[in-house]
Amino acid sequence: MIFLKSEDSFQALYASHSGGVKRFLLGMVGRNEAIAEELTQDAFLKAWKALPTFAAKSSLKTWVYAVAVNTARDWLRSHGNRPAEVSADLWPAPEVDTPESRAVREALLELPTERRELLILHYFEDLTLKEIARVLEIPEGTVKSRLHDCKSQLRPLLVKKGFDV
Amino acid sequence: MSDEFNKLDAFMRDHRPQSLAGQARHVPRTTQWWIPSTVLAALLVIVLGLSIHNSREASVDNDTIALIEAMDWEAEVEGEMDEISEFVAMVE
Repeated sequence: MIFLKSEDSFQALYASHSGGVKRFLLGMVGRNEAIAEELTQDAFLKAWKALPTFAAKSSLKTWVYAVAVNTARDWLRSHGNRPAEVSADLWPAPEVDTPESRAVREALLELPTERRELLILHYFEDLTLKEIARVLEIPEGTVKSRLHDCKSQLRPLLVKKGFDV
Repeated sequence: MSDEFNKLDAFMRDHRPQSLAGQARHVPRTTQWWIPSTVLAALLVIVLGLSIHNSREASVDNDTIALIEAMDWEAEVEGEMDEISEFVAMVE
């Protein structure tokens, strides 16, 4: 735990996970890179301040994602659980924003916050059930059953958009 | 997890958002058109700047040459005047 107090170590932590955290936040708040960037900085600032409370019971990765989950929840709560508007002068580059990826993004934004965070952690961040359980502080069995429910809810949204899933 | 979501799992993983680091930076649509114009304008400014600079150099060169020539002439006159003064002194 002592090594975490070093600024260099924290920078290494930021370098390893800021991309994933930002991607997670982008999925949670909607496609507004400026807000996702701001929330990523907020999340790491909170993580930096909360370092003394890190008990090393979980990995740094799950701990950082837990901070990011709380950051996203706070932001969404303060914005009536509505995703951010896509900035008017920005649009996803055509090579990364295919009809499929757009459908995925839109379908996720139609789901309630807690379901969206679970699916993003599972599909996009490749966290294991055990890691998701640690991030969300729920039992692994609960993660498994909730994931099943989330997928059941997600599938018809994509089918409705014309995809055979 | 059962196989009932195999297709969904594959679809979701295939179409996950690109890593932000590797993602092409989004360029504002409204700014796209003026990027070539800006480059052209910058080139024009550079070309104009160079030609003004060259013409100034040329005029400086001309002025300098004129000055040197004038100095040479003055030196020649002064030299001749010295010789005349020496000659007059000798005759006297």
